[in-house]
Amino acid sequence: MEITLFFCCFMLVCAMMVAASSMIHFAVVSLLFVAVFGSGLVVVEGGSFMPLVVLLIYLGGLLVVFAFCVGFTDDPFMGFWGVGVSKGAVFLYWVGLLIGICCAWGYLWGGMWISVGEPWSEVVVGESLGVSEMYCNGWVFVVVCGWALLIVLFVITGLIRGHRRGAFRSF
Amino acid sequence: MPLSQPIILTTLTATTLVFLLSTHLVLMWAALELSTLAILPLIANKSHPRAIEASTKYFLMQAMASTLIIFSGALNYEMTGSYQIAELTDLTSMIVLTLALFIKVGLVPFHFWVPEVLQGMPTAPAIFLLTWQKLGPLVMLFLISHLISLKLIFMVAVLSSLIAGWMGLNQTQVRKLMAFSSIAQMAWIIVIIKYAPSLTILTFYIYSTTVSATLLTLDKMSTTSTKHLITSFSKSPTAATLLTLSLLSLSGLPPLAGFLPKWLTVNQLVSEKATWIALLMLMASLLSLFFYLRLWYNSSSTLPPNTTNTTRLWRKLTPQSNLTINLLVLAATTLLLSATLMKAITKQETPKAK
Repeated sequence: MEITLFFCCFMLVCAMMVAASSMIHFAVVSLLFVAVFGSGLVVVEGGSFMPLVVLLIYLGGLLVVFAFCVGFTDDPFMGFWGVGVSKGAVFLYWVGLLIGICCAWGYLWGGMWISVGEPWSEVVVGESLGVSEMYCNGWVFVVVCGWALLIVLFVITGLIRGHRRGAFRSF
Repeated sequence: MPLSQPIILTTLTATTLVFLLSTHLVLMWAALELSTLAILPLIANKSHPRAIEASTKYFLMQAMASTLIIFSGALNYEMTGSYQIAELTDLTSMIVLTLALFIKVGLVPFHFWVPEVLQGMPTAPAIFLLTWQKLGPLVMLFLISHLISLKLIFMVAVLSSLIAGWMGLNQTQVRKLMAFSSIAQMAWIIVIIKYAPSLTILTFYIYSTTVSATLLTLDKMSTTSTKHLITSFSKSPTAATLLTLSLLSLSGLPPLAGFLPKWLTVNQLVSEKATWIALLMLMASLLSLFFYLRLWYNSSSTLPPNTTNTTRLWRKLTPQSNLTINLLVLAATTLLLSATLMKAITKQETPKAK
């Protein structure tokens, strides 16, 4: 249980670092660690297909292209890690993480968390079955997710259109 | 924006429909996220700093609410083993989901994004944001309404009504005013959700019609503040007169359609012995009445201190949209149907035996 908890915590911490980075290069590295810890979480719980897919496609494809594009950007205010990070927000985040760990270990609200899940030792086959089930009976999910990817393209292009005259600056 | 507008508008319609047709919490969350994302280009279309800020605030608030929705779904899955919305029985996940839906709809104490987002966006997409985007969260509240605590609903409704009324009193910008009016109307929509959900739907329907009529008229008149409203009568007298009808309908005055939901809601609340709540909501609606009347006064009932040279502008008339007229007629005259409705929904007395 502990390794799961630590992977969850590290994943959340790296997700926070993605949002709170002073330079975009640090955000890319943090995103890499988010993907690694998230996939590691599923591996520890027994799954093998989904983590490999995430590491190959998301990390090896998408994130590499993203880091390549980030390398094209010019940032007039170069900084080191820690510049621009709100110290108060990071402190509050660590407090929240500590509260979460205490909840998971039973120190806070100890007797109230009773989970009714299936034993996760059966998830090795169940997880790949879930993928095939998603393509079979859960086709609506696939359609909605595919449509979401298309729409994100149009939305982002619409928001950063015009380089510096657009709504959001694209660097 | 015009090139991608068909796909954005199609997505906005389609995702809300997917949301309404689905019962699996993950699919509902995905559809809500997608509708949030798809409306962003509509908000940030003008790309001035206020629009950028409005789109950022909207996205962050709605994304946080969607996160809470999926967290409640995951927690419910762990506690009960089901992702179906009808089997949402875990207490924590139900409370988190309720609060997340209150954030999405814009009720107190999560109402701070509504005026700033509405001020930053042009008037025409504001209609979309106030009516269509609220449809999903309201339906989800409708589905879980039997589990929400009554005290929470009453507290949020009364607070929303009061705070929106008070905060709307000092506004001169019309879009911020409509934002506060939307928060107050949402309060009326959810106050009755546990007793008579059909009244929730009726209130939402009449509110959507009247607010669309108001905002469409304001969009055609190109007025965004009371300063512009004052001279709008000379620009287009018909629009100013029709604005009167739709504003008074929004405020809930009797000859017009907006009175029907308030009347039936108060009727239901009193018959369920929630008289204090009915009294507080009615008194709070007096505050909103004040700023609706101020808009009416500025547009149709007073002469501006700055004189125009003629009583009517010599330039071309602003084109009146057929949609505006249809909506206005619908908004203003639905009350005539209410007599029929009341007869249909009251019990028929059995004839006495002689």
